[in-house]
Parts: sequence; C-alpha cells; structure tokens
Amino acid sequence: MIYNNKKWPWVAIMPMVTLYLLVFVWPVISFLLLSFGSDISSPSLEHYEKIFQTSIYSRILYNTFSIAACVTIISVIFSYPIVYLLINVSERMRRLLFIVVLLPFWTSALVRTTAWIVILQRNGILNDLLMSSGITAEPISFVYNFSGVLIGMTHVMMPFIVFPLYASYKDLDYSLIEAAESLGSKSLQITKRIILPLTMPGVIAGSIIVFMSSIGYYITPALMGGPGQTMIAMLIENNINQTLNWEMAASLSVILLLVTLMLFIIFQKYFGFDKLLTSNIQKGSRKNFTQSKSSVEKSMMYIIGILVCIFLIAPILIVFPMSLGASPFLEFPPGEYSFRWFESFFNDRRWIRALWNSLIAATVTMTVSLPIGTLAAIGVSKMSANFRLFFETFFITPMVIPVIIFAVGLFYFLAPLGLNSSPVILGLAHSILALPFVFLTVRASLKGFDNNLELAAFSLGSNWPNMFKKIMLPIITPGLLAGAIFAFIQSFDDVVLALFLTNIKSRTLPRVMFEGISHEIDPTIVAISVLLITLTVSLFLINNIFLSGNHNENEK
Amino acid sequence: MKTKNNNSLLLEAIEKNYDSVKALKGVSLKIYPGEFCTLLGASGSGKSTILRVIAGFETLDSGRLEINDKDMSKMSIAERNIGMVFQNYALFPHMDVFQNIAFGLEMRKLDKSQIKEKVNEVLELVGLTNQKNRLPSALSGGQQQRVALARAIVIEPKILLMDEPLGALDKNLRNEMQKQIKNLHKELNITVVYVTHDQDEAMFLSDKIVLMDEGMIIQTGTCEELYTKPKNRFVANFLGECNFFTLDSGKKISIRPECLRISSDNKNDRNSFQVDVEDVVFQGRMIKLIGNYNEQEIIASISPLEYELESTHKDKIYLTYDNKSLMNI
Repeated sequence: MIYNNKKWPWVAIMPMVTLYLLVFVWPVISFLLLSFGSDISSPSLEHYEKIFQTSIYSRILYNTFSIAACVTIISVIFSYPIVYLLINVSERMRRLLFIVVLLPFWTSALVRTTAWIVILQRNGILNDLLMSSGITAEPISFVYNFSGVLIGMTHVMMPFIVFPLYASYKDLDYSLIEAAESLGSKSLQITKRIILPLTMPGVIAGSIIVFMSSIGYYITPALMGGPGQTMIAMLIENNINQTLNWEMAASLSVILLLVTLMLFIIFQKYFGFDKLLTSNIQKGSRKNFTQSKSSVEKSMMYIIGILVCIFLIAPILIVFPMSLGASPFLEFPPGEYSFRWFESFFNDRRWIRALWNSLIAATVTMTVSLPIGTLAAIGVSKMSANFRLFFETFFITPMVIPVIIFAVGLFYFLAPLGLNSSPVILGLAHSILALPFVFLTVRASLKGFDNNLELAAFSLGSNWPNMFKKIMLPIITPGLLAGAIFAFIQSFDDVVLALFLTNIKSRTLPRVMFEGISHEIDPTIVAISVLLITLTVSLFLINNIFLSGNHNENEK
Repeated sequence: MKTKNNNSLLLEAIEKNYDSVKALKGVSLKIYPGEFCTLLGASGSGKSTILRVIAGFETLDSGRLEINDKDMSKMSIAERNIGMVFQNYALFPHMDVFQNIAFGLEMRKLDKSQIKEKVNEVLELVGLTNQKNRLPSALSGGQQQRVALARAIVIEPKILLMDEPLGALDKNLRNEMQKQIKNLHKELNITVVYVTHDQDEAMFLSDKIVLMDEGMIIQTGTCEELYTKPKNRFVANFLGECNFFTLDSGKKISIRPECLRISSDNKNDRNSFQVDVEDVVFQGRMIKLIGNYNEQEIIASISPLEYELESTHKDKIYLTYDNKSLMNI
C-alpha cells in the first residue's frame, strides 16, 4: 500500500540526494579542504593569514564588497520608480512593462554584457551619440572600469529587487493610504510613514539576494571591469588558471562561501527562497493604486521609471539592428543591412561545433534534472514539516553557492579522472544548477494538487503508477514544462562551468562567445546574441501559450 | 472459529492516533447490508477519521476492520472496492464528466462499450446526460456533487462512503440533494456510511445514526431512539432543543419543547406548572414561548392555534406534559 508507506518519500528523494552528494557536495568540500594546506593531518591557517595580511588580497575583498553594496543600493533606488510605474499604469501597459523587466532577466548574462560593451565602449553607440551631438569632444570611458561593472551588474540584478518590491506593493492594503490621508497625511508623509515601512521586507529580501549574488559574480566584472575592479571570483579563477595556487583559491572560496551562506541563512529564516520563484506576481488584478502625489512628484517618478525601463530593455533591442549591419565594424544605425554575420555563424565550423556541444549539454541536463527533480519534489511534498524544510533548503543551495566555487571544485574532482572535457559531463554538472529550478517549479505546481484527487483515484481502483500517469502528471505538466525550460536555459547560458570543464574541442557556445568578447566583439557575436534572445523569447512564448491554453480549457 | 454474522461492515475496538492526538479511542460498530448509517458529530469528533479508516486512507493503530466479513488489514485502498464521495468532490480537473465517471471502470479494465453503457446509465440516474462533455470547472456546485456521486456508484461498490457531501451547497439545493440521495439509496440498495454535522440531515437520511464525540461513539440507534430516548444530555442536546428543570415538588424534568402544552385545566392537571412568559417568537408553523420558572429557562413550542385558544393571560401561562414524553436523563 504505497500511499501509507512511510519509506517511499525517502526513496523518491534518493536520486537527487545522491547526485548532489556525488557531483556537488563531495567535490566542493574536498576542494575547500585544500585551504587548510595540502596535508590535512596537520591543518594550517597560513593562507587565511596571507589573505588578510597581503594588501592586494585585502583590496580585492574590499572591492568585492563595495561593488556588491553599490549594486544593491543603486538597484533599490531605481526599483522604486519602476514599481511605482507598474502599480499605476493600466493592466495592458503593466503586462508590457513586465515583459520589459522579464526579458532582460531571462536573457543570458553574456548576451547582455555583449550589448552593454557595444553601447558603452570608446567607439560605441553612446560615445558616438555624445560626440556627434557635440556634448563631449573626447570619448568617455564607460566600460572596463568601475562604471562599467556597476552598469552591467545593476542590469543583471535589478529584477531581483523589482519583483519582491512589486509583490509587497501589491499586497499593500489601499485602505491604509486612504486612512492616512483622512488622518491628514500629505503624500511625502504617506511615503515615509506607510509605504516605505510596509514595502521594506520585500526590499530587504531582494537586497540580500542581490548582495549575495553580486559578491560571487564572475562574468560581468571579468568582461566589463578593469584591473581595479577585480572581484573575489576572478581572483579564485586566477589562482587556479594562472598562478596554480589551489590552496589560496580554496581559502578565498571558503571566505566567499561563508559570507554567502550566512546571508542565505538569514534570508531563508526570514523570507524563504522558494517564494521568489513561486509567488505569481503577474497574477491578481487589483485596482490602480493611485496615491495622490503632487503632479510634479508624479511626473518625476514617471520619468525616472520610464528611463529605468529604457535602461533595462535598450541593450536587448539594440543588438537586433546591429546584427544586420553589413560593415565589418559595429555601427549604429548600420549604413547598409545584410545577413552576413548570421551566415558567418552558420558557416563557421568552430561556432557550429560549439552550438552542438551546447545542445548536447542542455539535453543531458534536461534528461537528468527533470525526472530526478520531479521525483524529489513529490517525495518532499509527502514528508513531515521538519524534514521538508531541511530538504527544501538543501535542494536549493546550488542556486546560492557561487558557481565559481562549484566549478573549481568539480574541476579539482574530475580533472585527475580525465573527465573534464566532455559535453555530457558538463551537462551532468549543469543538472546541479538546473535541479533547484525544476524542484521549485514542480513543488509549486504540487501545492495546487489536491491530495484528495490521489485518494479518489486509489479508491476507484487505481494503483500508484496509473494515478501518476492519469491524474498527477497532467495536473503538474505546466510546472514540468517551466522546469524543463529553466533547465535548458541554465545549461545553455552557463559560462563559468564551461570555462573549467571543456577544452578546445568540447567548448560550448557561451564559452566561445566569452573568449570572443574578452578579446574583441566581432559582429558574429552580436548576431549570436540576437539568436539567443530570440530563443529565450520563443521558449517563454511556448510556456505562456501552453499555460494559457490550459487555463482557457478549464474555463470552458 | 469465525462465525458468519453477515455484516456489511464491522469495526472492533479501533484506535487511531495522530502523533499525540487520539483521534479514535476504541470505536466498535456494526453496519448491516443495505443500511444507511450516518456518523454524526461536531468537527474533531472523529467521524471523518472513521470514514478514512474504512476507505484505507489511514492505517489502524489497533483494532479490527472487516468488510463483508473479510479482514481489511492487508487490503490496499484499490482492492477494497469502496465508493467515496469527498467533501470537496475531488473531481479530476483535467477530465470531463464522462471521463471522471469512467475512470474507475477503466481501472477495472472493462471494455469500451461496457464502460460507455454503464457511464451513460449512471449519468441518466443523476440527471447529467447533457453535461457529460463538460469539465468540472464548468459545472455548478450541485452538478459537481452529482458527478462525484455518479463516479462513486458506477463501480458498484460494496460500501458507499460520503464525507459531508452537501456541506458546500446552499440550503435549498441541499434539501433537493438529500431527497436524491435518499431515493438513490432505496433504488440501489447499497450500504452507505455518511458523515455530517447536521442533525436534520442525519435524521432525514438515516436508518441508523452513530453519534460521536471526542473519538468515541456516544450512542447508536435509529433516529427515533436517539431523539426520544437519548442516553444522556449531550445526545439530547445534539439532536434538538431540550428543557432540563426541577419542579417545586423536587421532580427533575427533561423534555423536548414540542412535548410541552398549554394546560387547559390547571386545577385538575397534576403535571401543570405556571411560568412567566418572557418572550413569544413567531416561527411560522410554531410559536416559541420562552418562559421563566423559578429562574429556570423553559422553552415550549406550541402551535399558533393552541396559543390563541388556550392562553388567557398572555404573561403567565400554565404548561403541562405527558409523563410518557419525559426523557429519563
């Protein structure tokens, strides 16, 4: 009698636990242990001492935290106007604005970085614009310095603040504003005394996520920063690939990991990570939240909000015309149009092989993570509350642990076995990144699954496999589909793991792009960016069409 | 040696604990074939737990459960052949009415033509033939309820279990469904175990009522037995209003309001006693008199006609009763 069998939830989570221990926990821990010296029987702290005594290391630590803090603060400040806009516009406009926020969120960081460099570099679009309009005589360096890192990272991180802030704004009871107004509050006081305190939890939640992700971030600072903006993740990479100092890399990783885990624990204790993904912020229509601000304040908020929207969407849009330019130099707007850069992508064996490797890895990722994550989600849903919380937290840790640590750990584990150059192995490693997403989306759809449906099926004579096939699976299919898309994107967009786990033959598309961007952006990369954006958009369209189709059927 | 006693359902000293909470504290019960048995009680009394135990959704901590004289302890949910109507209906949202009803038959591997025939038959029985291609979400609450019922009876179960099936419906629809369920029971001659907290519903439907409180059975009997011969004041109160008071003579009286009458001859009537009338509430068929007798509240339910004919003084009234309508509690 499977329903009453207390053991089976444990059996169901076993594959995921095993995979995590084998491919994630064990490699990372054995790498981190190097920080105490190569001889574990006589551990030493000399590397930690060195980090805090050597000024270059301390400076990089300081850099890391100050860049992360700046990114967090800027993201918070500019999230308010955009959320204000989201709250006050019509339903239709809101949907459009959501696309503006979501599209960059789901576009690969590499593509966005490409676009920003194209816009910001010395002979880029922005400098062209400034000089041709006579505002400046000399090109301004926006990129390969502090401002470059800030712009790039804020663009990546801002949605993490916008979503929770919007959610807490939306939950705000409008009658509170009316009450405050009836008690004589003016708009500034309402903002200060009512809105800020009540939206604070959402902002803090988002800020922790942003700060936590920023300190371990690799791609953007590596591509958009200068030597002065070296962050800890880059230092770890440098210690592995350049100076071959594994023990120092491990010590730096331990420090990064401890700070990250501390932030994660605080976050999990007060907010809960799963809410980020599962709270359906696009749903729920409520009446417009028109706080009677003075018209000057209002138009100020609107203007800033619109500017932030442009900031978010511009890089995504600008690569489309640029990819169609005919000249070998990037121009905006292009003088002549052609498809030559798309052709150059499809005719270059190097790119096609990279694409093929990426597709193999992504296929492996989906094949591994979908069944394992689904099974674990079902198993966890049948557990008692204490175990459930423990495993939920354990299963989402790959989302918060800096990928660089995972990548180096896995490299340390696999290289001696000669397993560090196959797209299949890379796909397996990507499953660790994808599994939290699959787990969370399936968990979310299981929360909407009424347990009585299962019991009803059993009482009508069904066994477990039949019930799963005919009742549970059709109902959780939207969650599975979303999970599959997440899994695909996680694998297809990854750079960091690919940097360590592929060689010249097995390089994936993002790795080849990354190498290209760090050298010089040629128009082919812009064309690839366009293809990747189109791919992301179509995946989400598929998902939405499928979901809304399902929805309509139910309302028939 | 096991004796054949021909029970449809036998529960013997059944106990069930959820962690430290004792949900069932030794419940014993026999239900005969074709009987309509209602488990009546407040929420948390254990009535739904009994249903879940019978269906096999819960395992027993101790005790014995037999269906048709067969021990159920090793029997899976699917093998028990029990029809269950859930409180929230638990209709499969992605299947239409026909598919929902056909599900149990498909699990029994009947061939297509047989399934079609049986489903159409039961659709007609519950009056949903025109709705058979609609999804549950497109149906009204009453229609959903009938789909749930049809899905449970089409498999010709040994026992039909119903967990507060009418709880979500409004009053008129509920009365209508009660009639349908009663007729269906007569027509199919099936054993039904029904859970409700509504004593009127229980009395309307049941051959046998099992009154429960705190995981124990307080009294089992026909509606009449429970109403007129309750075992204690809890049972008496649960099934309807009840007066408990002491007369000047020291005699303790337990009596239903409708068993009190206005005394037409208080001089010779040895059972008559005078109450101060505090309120008169018109309730349609009856008039409710709320009176005071030596600081004890007395409620009498009297027909409007009797009230007009017999009450000469509207503020002081003599009430009386028959000795045989007294309850011995």
